[in-house]
Amino acid sequence: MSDCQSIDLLVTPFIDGELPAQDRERVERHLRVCAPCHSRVDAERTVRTLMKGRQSLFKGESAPVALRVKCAGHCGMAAAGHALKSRWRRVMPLAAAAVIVLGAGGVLLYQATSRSARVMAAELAADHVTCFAIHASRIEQSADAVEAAMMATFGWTVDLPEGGDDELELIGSRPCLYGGGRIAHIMYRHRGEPMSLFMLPKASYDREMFETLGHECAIWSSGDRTCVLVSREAPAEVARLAAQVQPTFH
Amino acid sequence: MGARLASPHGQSGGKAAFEAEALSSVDSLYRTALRLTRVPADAEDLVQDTYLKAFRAADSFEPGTNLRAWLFTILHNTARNRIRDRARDTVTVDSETVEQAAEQPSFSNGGPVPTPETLLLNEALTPELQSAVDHLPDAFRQVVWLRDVEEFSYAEIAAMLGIPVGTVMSRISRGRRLLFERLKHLQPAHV
Ligand SMILES: [Zn+2]
Ligand SMILES: [Zn+2]
Repeated sequence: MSDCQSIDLLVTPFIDGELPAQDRERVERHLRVCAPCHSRVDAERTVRTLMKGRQSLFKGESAPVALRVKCAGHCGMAAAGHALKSRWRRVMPLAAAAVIVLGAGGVLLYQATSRSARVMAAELAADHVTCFAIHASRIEQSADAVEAAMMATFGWTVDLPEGGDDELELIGSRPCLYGGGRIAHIMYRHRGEPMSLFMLPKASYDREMFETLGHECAIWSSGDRTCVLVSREAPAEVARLAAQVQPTFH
Repeated sequence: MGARLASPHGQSGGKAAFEAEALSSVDSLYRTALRLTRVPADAEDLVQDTYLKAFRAADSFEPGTNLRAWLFTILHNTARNRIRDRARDTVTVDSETVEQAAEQPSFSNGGPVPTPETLLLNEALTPELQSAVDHLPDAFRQVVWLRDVEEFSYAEIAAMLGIPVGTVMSRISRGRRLLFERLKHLQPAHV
């Protein structure tokens, strides 16, 4: 094998900085005396530098929102649909339609029809996924701090139940945007799994529960406020949790 | 992601952290899938399938290793299986031709080589570069993409594609040289 041929095999790792020192020196020595190899290295290095310099050009494309939500829906692979003994009315899923409306905006927030409940649930499930991915690791609030935040942001006097369940951990709260208004988003972990309790002002929905975007959503109203619980746990468990975390408004 | 991810939830807390970290790769998986399939609907399908498999196989992921590389490996395995399923009866010569092409050293025939600076300053480059990358033969585009855009190591790329490290290097080399041949006319004439 000629010198040039054996050097040729080392050019790419040489440019990528993946050559051991000994080989690197060998390549450098050869490049000083061989113009053709030198220009070949320059050519390849030019492309490498170019590609690195233009990474943002290739990375401009991001995954569609619907894909994001669908992938998140594969988390946990929760067992579906036990029979429900509770007073929850379980409605058939409308996942496909819900995916289409995601991100479209302009949804009527306070219109309490069954369709808008599904749309709302899909959007809140998407918010649940997003908020846990982005914010959950940075928030740590006590129940007192969350109640104070509800007072400061919404003017609500809310009593959050103390729990009495070692498996339920309060993470904290965020004011999230929904339908052009602000809603309270309280984040928990139940047995380590993300769980969200949303509270909407001045809204009234029938008590319903359905599966949307891989999540189980329970919706109920209390006074003139509506609560929505979102989690990937089984329906029976979600119904139990909804009763457990049900806040009292004064 | 810090403290809360390591919080005392044992398995399930670790699982939630694993899932959150895995989901943060969705953009780069989608872009890469788009390069593999060239069709957005197929790319979405491929990415979804990748997550489905990843979450099912979460137990086989070795903590401490590169989660992103692991996901990319699943993505490429899934893509290869699909191609195999679809083309079971078609003889594909692609990989062989590719290896032969990779063997032929491509010596640029002298002449001035544009520096990265002169090329980078050339505004005409953006569409040219994108198109040049898109027109590379699949096997070369894959490795150049994984190395120069996604910044994986040779070993990680070899594992993803199921090929030897030496082949990864020769394909990267060949791919970059092909790109150079396509782009070198963009150097300013007076250089
Ligand atoms: Zn030489
Ligand atoms: Zn939120």
